[in-house]
Amino acid sequence: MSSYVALIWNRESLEASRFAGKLMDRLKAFRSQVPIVNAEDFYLCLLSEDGKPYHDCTLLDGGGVLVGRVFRRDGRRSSTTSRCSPSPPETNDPGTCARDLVARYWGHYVGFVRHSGTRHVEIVRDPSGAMPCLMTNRHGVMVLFSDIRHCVGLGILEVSVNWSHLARFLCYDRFATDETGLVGVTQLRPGECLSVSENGIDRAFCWNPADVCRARVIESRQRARDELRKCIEECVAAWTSCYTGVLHRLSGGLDSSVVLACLHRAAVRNLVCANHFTPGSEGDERTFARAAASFVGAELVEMPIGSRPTPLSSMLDTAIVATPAHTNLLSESQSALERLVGTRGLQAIFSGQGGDHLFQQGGSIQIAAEYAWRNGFRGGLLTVVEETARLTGRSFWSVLAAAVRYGILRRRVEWTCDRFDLSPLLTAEAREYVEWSPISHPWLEDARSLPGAKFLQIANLIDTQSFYRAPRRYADIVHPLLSLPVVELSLQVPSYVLAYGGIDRALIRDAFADAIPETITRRTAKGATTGYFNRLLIRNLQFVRELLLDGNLAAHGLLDRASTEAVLHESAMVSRPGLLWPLLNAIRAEAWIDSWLRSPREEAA
Amino acid sequence: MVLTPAGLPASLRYSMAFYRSVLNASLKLRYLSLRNAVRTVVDRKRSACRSGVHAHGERAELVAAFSLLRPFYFRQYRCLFDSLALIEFLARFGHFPSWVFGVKTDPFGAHCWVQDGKHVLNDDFERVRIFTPIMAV
Repeated sequence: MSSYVALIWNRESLEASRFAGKLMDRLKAFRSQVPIVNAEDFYLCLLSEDGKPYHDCTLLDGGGVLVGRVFRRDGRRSSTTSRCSPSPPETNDPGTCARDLVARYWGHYVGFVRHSGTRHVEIVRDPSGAMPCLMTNRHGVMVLFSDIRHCVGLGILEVSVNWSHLARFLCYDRFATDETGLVGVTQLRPGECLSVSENGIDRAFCWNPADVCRARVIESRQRARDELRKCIEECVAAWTSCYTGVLHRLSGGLDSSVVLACLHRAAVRNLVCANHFTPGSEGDERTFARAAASFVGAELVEMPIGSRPTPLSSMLDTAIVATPAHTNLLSESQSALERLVGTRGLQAIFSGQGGDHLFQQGGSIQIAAEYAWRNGFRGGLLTVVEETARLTGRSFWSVLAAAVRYGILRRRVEWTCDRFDLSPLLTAEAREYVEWSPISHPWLEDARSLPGAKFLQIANLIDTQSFYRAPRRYADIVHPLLSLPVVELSLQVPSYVLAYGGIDRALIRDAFADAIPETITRRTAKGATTGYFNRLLIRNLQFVRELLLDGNLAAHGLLDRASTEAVLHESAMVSRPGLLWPLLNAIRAEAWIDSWLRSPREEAA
Repeated sequence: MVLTPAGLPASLRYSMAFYRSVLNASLKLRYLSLRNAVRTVVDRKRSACRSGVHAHGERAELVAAFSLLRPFYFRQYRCLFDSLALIEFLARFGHFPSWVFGVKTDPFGAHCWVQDGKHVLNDDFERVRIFTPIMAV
């Protein structure tokens, strides 16, 4: 996928204009830089990974530019993912704004709209968050970019770690704020719009999942099933139209099998499925992956991970990114994946990520509560309560009580910092900071008046933004189930329609019953990588000790050395499963800091 | 026979057996050590074998009945309680399946389930296969 750099400045400021000029000169030295907009106070250019002189970009009538892959909501294909010409767009009449853009397009993009004749520029980041929009200010110039390496290449980044951000990351690695791991670098959040004009800078969300929930409710199971299947098939088909070769990560679970069925229907010319498995049975889902692949006659490549005792030290990803993320600890599988992508001429990696979050994978008492919320004591409340009890393993009576409490009396679901398990490795000071810092998200504030199940679904949706934080620079990452039309549809289907009959994800099972093997439709268990990671850490305890006890997190008072040392023993690792994820987050954070301390300039463009 | 909530009044026998079983399991786990709770199961099975108790009722139907009634007991699902309660329930109809205990490492985990021959009666095979059985009662 292409990346971009945009500059916005006040043309009346001499200092800003001069500095912007300097930055434009520096940008011209970048390989395959194509200017798209070059105005008196706004400059936008695209940069391609592969050095080819064209990029994914859509010019809009009236002076807008969408950087990335976009599709029209009305299904018309004429202007989707058009290759741009290097000429600037017409800027006569804006005729559009960020909210309209989101209403008309979906995909992976950041949109720029310049209102002609004014200094008003609007920037919008697509609600999935697949395309980053990082920001920094220098000498009166606002610099927006998708890849932190370009910021380094421009020579405007003074690396300074945001330690409070890291403290929160150690507790909860998926939280979504406008901060990054670097001081002075912020980000536009998915679905957010930045408006820069003579009057100043405004930020607001131009897409809100709570509004989508309120707009329509699909109570009919049959209608929801038909719409869901059609919508997923159309979104997968739209994505496949961008690529001639696709690698699909087929876990063997329901969601990845559904995406495979749609890829098969879309008749992708060059489709390869890859299944990662760990020798322990918990992470070995090959039986199901084979069943799904053979059902549609797709090629399956099975990739073992953890079969060779690779040292952890060689598995830390050193690619520089703006914020610590699920930094790559599966290097052996990732390098195999990269080789496969390269040798087979594939351009994108697809997956079934997001299905669990959107289609009611986990059981929750809020399912019955939502039914009571919408229908009161009428109809089949007792049936839904009984089904929810079966799904959650709770008693009928406790679910009924919850249905009355949250559904009839409409008590609000609490979702605060108690959702985050405070890491046992943190110092008292770091804990205190995390407990008091605002981790909540504006989408959740707006969702407080919705049924609890929808509130939790929106919290899950925010979590999915983390799937795009670990970049793969050798291929596009596409999670088709997180396409905006699918997200919006799932938000409009009540939880008791998504999971009926006491079965999790019942609606999507039903919708694709004829397209995937029955063994997978009936499957409710899930694979896990916990055993693999635990073994990995135990095998590398000495390295982990040195990394964490002598590391930056401990030196800056985030990690408590005594507590950390106390848990870094095989007996503790085996008997306390809750330690694994805090330790992995700490390792990821150290690896991220290390990637910046090494020599980021070498990696820059 | 297909059991549905609407059909429950006709299955009074199952309901009575169910509530006796879950109460019995609750009391055993409350007042007996696990060793003694297991011993009561072993002793009953041995004595049933000696006296030649005949099973009555289809096992699958009984398990379905238990599963249907289970949410109506106030206790949350726990493998230890649920397995013992199912064993108590099936014993009332002359069925004596095995109570299997398993463990796993990386990280440590323990689980138990009810199994008859190759059939896991109250869990998903895929979920229990990650545990190594250490005791079958």
